[in-house]
Amino acid sequence: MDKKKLSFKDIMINYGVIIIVVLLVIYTGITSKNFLSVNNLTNILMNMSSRLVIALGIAGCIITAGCDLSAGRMIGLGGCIAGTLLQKMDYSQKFFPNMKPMNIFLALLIVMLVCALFGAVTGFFIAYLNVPPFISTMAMMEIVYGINMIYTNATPLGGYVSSYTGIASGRFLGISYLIWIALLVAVITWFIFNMTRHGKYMYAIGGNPQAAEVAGVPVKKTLIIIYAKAAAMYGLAGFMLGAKAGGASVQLGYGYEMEAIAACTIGGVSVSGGRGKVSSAIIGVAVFEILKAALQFLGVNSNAQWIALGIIIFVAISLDIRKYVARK
Amino acid sequence: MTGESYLSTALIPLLMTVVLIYYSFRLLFLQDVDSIYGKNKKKPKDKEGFAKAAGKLMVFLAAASLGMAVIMYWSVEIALVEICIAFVIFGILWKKMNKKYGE
Repeated sequence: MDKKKLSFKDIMINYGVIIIVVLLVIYTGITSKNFLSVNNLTNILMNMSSRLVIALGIAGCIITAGCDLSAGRMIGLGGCIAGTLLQKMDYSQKFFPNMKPMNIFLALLIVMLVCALFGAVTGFFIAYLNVPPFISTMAMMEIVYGINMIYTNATPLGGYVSSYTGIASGRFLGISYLIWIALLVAVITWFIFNMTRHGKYMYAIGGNPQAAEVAGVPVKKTLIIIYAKAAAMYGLAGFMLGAKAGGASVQLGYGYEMEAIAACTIGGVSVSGGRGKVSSAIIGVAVFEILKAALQFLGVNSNAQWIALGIIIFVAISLDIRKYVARK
Repeated sequence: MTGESYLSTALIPLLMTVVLIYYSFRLLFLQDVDSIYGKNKKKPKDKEGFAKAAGKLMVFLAAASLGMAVIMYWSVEIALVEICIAFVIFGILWKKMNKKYGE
């Protein structure tokens, strides 16, 4: 088989960001004795869990050459709805004073359905009214934010029942439930992306929407399902974050959409559409979270950490666009 | 509402206003249709007409977003209704515009 030899330049373009982060991890591991400890790695995995769920949702949108800027606000809405439904009866600032705390699975279902509904509306605007994804999702971001402000009256929520917070503190086989949830979502998403007709349609739309339509792909229906599915996953992520923090507010999830888009791009989900795997999102989220932890361990100023993360996002997206131009 | 808490509340609509104004500028003055649809999307049949109409619609949504930011100072409920109505009108007009210049 004729295999093209990769030059140093190609390797740097394809894996440059990952190589730099691996080198940083090695350096941090040598200089800080606790960085590679089991406790720290477990913490990183816990932080990765909700971020991975968001990234897997957004990956579907990016594969169709779209994006979803409403993710952060959907996470906030999901966290707040879950919070209002799962407060203790004796909590003094209970949102619904006379309502008994709901079953957590029922609350999760409600959260995911509400978010999916908003996602479907976004998908409708993109698919049927041809509004560009970044405008539709940005407008939905404002609408969801407004709805969440009215719903919660902009008050922070807390006093959750132990069965809800137990999702973050509980363990199965020594591994946090949050990590198990993220793994389950990753497996389901892998199955959808690779084993279903919907997954094939998704890649076809991302590669060339006109050709996909001519080939009989139900482009409009598929787009609505993709955005609804992604929003349901943001709802789940909000539910997980609420359990982990033991509280929620309208600000929950602020800026997470940018991190998720960046993580997908770093991992290899192309912003120009048609390319990306579940493993890409996992690698991207891992790189991003490890980088954050490494910078903290190195004692980098918190403001400087934002600059470093911004540079990584900028470089990753620039390299991805360069790859796209080179392919063309 | 204090100035600081108002700003933190209205930050998202204000941010959206700025982004929309930036893209409307690109469409109205540079006819840069690729900036909103990406390079691998089918080009509109009348690029100039499309860019002008899309730019105007962007200005409309930017104004609605700015309106939301202002109204939020008094009532979040009215601000939400305002942006919802504006977004639906925007969607319908965008569809019409796309039919006329894009397809």
